[in-house]
Amino acid sequence: MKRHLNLNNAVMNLPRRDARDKLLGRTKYTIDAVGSGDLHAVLLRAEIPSAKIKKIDLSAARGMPGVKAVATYDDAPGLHGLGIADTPIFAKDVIRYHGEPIAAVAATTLAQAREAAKAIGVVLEEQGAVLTMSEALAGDAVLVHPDWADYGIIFEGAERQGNIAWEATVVRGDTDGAFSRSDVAIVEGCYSVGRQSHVSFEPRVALASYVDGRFHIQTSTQVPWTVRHVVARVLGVPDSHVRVTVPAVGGGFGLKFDCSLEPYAAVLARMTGRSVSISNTRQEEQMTCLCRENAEIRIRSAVTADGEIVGREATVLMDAGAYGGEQVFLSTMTAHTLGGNYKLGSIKLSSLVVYTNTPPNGAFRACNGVYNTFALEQHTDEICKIIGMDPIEFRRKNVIGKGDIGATGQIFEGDVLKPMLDTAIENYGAHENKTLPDGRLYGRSTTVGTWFIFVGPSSATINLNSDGSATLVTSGVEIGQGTMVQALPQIVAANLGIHPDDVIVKTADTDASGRDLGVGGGRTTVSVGAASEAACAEVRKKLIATASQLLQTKADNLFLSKGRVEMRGNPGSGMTIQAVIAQVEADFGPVSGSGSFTNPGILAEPGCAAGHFIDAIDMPVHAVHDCELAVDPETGHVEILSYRVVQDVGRALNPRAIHGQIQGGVVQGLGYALQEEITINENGAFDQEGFETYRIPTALDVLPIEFVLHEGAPSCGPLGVKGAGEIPILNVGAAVACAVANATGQPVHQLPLTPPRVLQVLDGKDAILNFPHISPVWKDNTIRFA
Amino acid sequence: MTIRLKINSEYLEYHGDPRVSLLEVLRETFRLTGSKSVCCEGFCGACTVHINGELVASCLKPVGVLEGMEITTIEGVGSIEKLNPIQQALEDHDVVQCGMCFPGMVMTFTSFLVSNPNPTRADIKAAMSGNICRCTGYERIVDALLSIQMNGEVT
Amino acid sequence: MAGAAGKQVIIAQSLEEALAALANTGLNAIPVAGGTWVMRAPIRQEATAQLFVSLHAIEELKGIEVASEELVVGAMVSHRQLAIELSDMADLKAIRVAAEKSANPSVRNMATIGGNLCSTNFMSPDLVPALMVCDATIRVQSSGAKTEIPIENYIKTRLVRPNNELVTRIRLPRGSFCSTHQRLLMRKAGEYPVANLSMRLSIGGDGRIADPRIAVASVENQPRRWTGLEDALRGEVASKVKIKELAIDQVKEFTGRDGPDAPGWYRLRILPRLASDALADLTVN
Repeated sequence: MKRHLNLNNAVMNLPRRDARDKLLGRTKYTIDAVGSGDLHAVLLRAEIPSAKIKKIDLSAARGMPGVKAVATYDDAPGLHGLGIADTPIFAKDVIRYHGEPIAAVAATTLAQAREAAKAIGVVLEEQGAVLTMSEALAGDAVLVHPDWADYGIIFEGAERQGNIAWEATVVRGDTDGAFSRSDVAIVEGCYSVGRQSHVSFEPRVALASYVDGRFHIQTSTQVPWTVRHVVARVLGVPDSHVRVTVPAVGGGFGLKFDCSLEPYAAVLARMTGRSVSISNTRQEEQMTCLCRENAEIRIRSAVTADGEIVGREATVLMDAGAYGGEQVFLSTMTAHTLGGNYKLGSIKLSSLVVYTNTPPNGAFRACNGVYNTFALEQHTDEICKIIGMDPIEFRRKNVIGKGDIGATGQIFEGDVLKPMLDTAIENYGAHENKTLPDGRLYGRSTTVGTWFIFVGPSSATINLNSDGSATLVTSGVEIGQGTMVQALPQIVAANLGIHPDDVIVKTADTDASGRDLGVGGGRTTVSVGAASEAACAEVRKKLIATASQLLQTKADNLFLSKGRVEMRGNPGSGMTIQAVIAQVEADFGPVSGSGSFTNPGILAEPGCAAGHFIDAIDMPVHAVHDCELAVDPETGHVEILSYRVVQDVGRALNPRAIHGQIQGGVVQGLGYALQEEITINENGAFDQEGFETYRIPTALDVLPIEFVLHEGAPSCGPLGVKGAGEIPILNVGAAVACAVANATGQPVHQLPLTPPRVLQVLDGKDAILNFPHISPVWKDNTIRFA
Repeated sequence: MTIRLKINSEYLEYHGDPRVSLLEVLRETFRLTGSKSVCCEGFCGACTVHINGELVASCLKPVGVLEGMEITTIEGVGSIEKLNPIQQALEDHDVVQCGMCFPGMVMTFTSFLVSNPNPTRADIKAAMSGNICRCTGYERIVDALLSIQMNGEVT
Repeated sequence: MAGAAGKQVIIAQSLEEALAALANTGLNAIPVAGGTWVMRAPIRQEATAQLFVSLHAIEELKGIEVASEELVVGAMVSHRQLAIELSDMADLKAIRVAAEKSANPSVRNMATIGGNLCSTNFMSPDLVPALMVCDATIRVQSSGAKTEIPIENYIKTRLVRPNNELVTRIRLPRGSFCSTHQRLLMRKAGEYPVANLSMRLSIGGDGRIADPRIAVASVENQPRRWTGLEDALRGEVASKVKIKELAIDQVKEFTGRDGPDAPGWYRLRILPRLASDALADLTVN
């Protein structure tokens, strides 16, 4: 197959074709598509975290000017979720979080809908609420889901109990033995992180209409097929009755990796017979954000004097908020991140997804990998301090490589992290102590990270057009990362011997393309790309077969290049692709091909992982980050002096686009590490309601990120690529924390490192963090092994 | 109350509540959706327009005070055939990602670079303090803007 | 119902017209200057006022008169205009820095000095403490009466001033002192200060401080003078180290407010640094 084309032609800094319209303000995102004929919907949201609903009186609201319909639970019953079906779209008899939707109103204008929502009479009986995981895990805690045992299980194998929505564990080897050795140092620490909010500029928004007995939803989403399924499920119709289309999306970062407002628009569209639009105000967007979860970690390791990690145990508490959502799935990733990076003699991990009466959390660029890497790398530096070993030498000695065994027993395929560490040292130099002239404290860190490419089902169809262009039909969505307008046309073009400008990329439409897991997790280039390559292979086979007859030469002698089918060794002797297409069409009909892709399936060691959705990662992706910073010991401000990255990309298809992802992803990580903080008040609501109080980096807070791209690691992706969009953020919390610890001489146990927190670190107050509700005895933190 | 607004050299009439923001009127009454409604509190810059040549956060300007003033929105800057120098530099450097912040960036720098044709990197960043971007991490935008050689007026 | 002839926005052509509209007690009418505070009412969960009385066309509120003994600034002068006009004045530098650094470029084009003074619930203004150390006098006008109020008194009474009164001009005395303004943010820009500090003083030939004035905003709910530090500094030799020591001692005068932007203890902790940075800025010149 590969002999028929030169895939090196795929590599280029192809500019994005959607830039011009975006720069002119012409691009119509879903938020811009709300038209004058559409009804406007708003949600009535709960303003307390926990209550029984005694009565909902819609009579006044229904009679108000402009109101066309009011919907509540009875209009869209049913529970959905990942792993467990625990989530209704409207509160049924119970309020579980501040901001939970109770009803939805559709009216002729937004103002009318808002007035009507205020007129809905709700009688509530306030109940006790658990607002922190510590409260939720207490023996006498109020249950967020008293009926937890009755919920439908979508994915078997996990322990659940009370406010523990899901438990994922890994046990491999004899950690008890490791910790009781006389030749080990035992290092232990507790870590705590808060939530991070995506702040995509386009809020969640959807437009729904009901046409010919089917729903058409236009929405700002990363997962059209998930939206299709969840809308169908809660509306009680077959999946095939829902069509989802997606125009340009104004930012996702994982916020839109779930069904969001679509079901409300759909149910109101059915009730009114009209098209209905709904969007979140910025305040709703912030206060019901599906954040990167807050988490608490206790980790301990047994390490020999020469730096061998013979045992590691850890417990992670992941706050799901009121419903399980993404955190149920993400409990799987502890093993591959907190339990990752290094060779371990034995390991026990427990990840508990905990219900609290707070807004549900979700997925955000590299998810729990970001805080697990922070805890792991800071723990690693503390180990190095205690055993007296250089942090870089320790990492060089211990990072996983070819043939090494991961936490769940999978065998890693290549030597990637060690060469990347060497590249970092070569390019960025050894660590040196520096004194800054202005009295600030200098710190530096080198950290490693492992994440994964979220492979999984994707499908693609290629239609070849008579003019030699190709139409690529997938469910991929352009959220700004560039894959749909750069990587995919590049891959298809290289496979068909045409120019990427001649590849038309159809925007996502579930009526047009096959199922797709969605955009996110770095998967689009890999999974959608692989499916597209498979579709190209079918098309190419048809072209070559016909060309072989036309040119009277063996198929092996032919290759596609520059819009032609050429004969090897005989340049200019072939024919145009248009001519071949015309002949294929005459003989067999219009030329098209389809392809599919899903997880290749890497093996883990049977029996060590429980409650995991993914036992072994099909495509690990790695990073090494080097950070220098200065700490102002009087104000606690941290200024990044340099930030340098080595990133495992497999193959750099569009180096300039990767640069954009690295610059943007690291900056989001700096926000997480230094500035972005969410606090939850006694009403179970976020204190940070918008741009004033939730601080994302401005242009003055950033610096150019330097980087080296590491190519050649094993990858099942097309042309050997790995997704480049997520991994840039993975290590930033770790890099900054370790460098601040280096600068201050004090360990760092909490993020974000806002100026007040840095002063607390300097005062020695951060190190005393301890969790009374996470037992130092590992098995006491599990349901399965307690 | 009817308000006559001059937007991108065209006279348009507005008959609704004059206390409503210019941003809301642009997007909902006139369907000029290039200016984006993101933060609604003047921090993010995605709604930036020019009023009488000055940068204004249109989310904070009540439409009722604008009779007689010249309003320019992103729709009045550049065209498909010919981008203005700021847009062209941003396109040439391939810096756009999700795109939502860029109309505001273009409006800010179309104004800024006319009065500051040879800025330093620090000058550009200071001018960008009211234009937030969540996708790009800014530096490549700054590189693109620094590459612009300003030759007289920008339209 | 709304104002005269059912209007919801009036563009007042004169002070008298504006004051008459504001005096109408049958209506909830408010003056609108730059609009940057008023237009965020929904975000503060406040109802929108029935009538906006826009001041932007009133000539008497515009412009800056420069004389050798004083500057007179119209209430509708924007932050940007103020910064430009004051760019060479060392004695009024506190005001120039406050005007130049607050918020962001668009907001500085829109927000006015009068608006900053009159946004009584805004806890982190930059111009207000600068006006306090610069000994500003606030001219107000209500139907029939013009009054001059020293800024200290104005700040103390601004929460209870009558609806039908407008700030018209701000008088700033000039002299051979120097002033500056320091602000501390969590990020580098684009947000309200966690704490700020304005300082004006003279330094004699003997290097000793005369007539120190220090004002602080954002640390408490309302801006105020740091009288304890002023008293401690008077007659002292100007020294960064000394002022920091004195400031640490005098911080007890404040009660730091807890807010979503920062905890109270942090605001107090960094005040001495702001004071020392301010003095350093003044002694460089």
